[in-house]
Amino acid sequence: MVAPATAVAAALVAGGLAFTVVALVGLVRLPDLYSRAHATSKSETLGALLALAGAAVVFGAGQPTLKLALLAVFVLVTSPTATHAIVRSAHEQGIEPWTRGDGE
Amino acid sequence: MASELPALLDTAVFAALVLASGLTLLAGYRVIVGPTTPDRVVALDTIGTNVVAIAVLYALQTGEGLFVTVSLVLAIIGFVSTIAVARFVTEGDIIE
Repeated sequence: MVAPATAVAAALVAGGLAFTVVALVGLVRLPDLYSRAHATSKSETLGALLALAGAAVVFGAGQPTLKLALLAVFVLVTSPTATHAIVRSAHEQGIEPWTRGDGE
Repeated sequence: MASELPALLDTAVFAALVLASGLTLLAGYRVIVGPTTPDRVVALDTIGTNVVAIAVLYALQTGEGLFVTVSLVLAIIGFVSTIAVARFVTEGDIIE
């Protein structure tokens, strides 16, 4: 019989990995910078957060979980901020967004 | 402290580590190919977030809370470096 905490942690880690797969497919397959950043900034953040939640379930109450909560807040705030900053700088540099019909 | 993981979770975490490492290598494709500098920076940021997740999974596998601190430091360094490159791309200079 599998303990509930084990099943929850395994499911959280698997879910995090699924979102990371989505982010990486977007990063490799999508046509331009803006769509790639759009795919990775959100899915990648959520994937990392779910992995952190899985680890927090296993570690239980204590110092590692406190650090994991701190890390979760930090990743949640900074990861989209960093992507926003780099995409804004790309826009100011004059990189044109991809539109349907380009490249034909 | 979880020093002895149940068999199911141990297998799941090991599989997750292998798969996450493969995905991180896949992001390396975009770093090498990516036509513009911001493309490469977005890919490097993705690699950074991925390595944070890998460090946490490794902490889970070994049962060492120390690796959580490692991933915290990695997250801070990744954020600062991405902001620095974003400023460098726009201003051509990081510190005025």
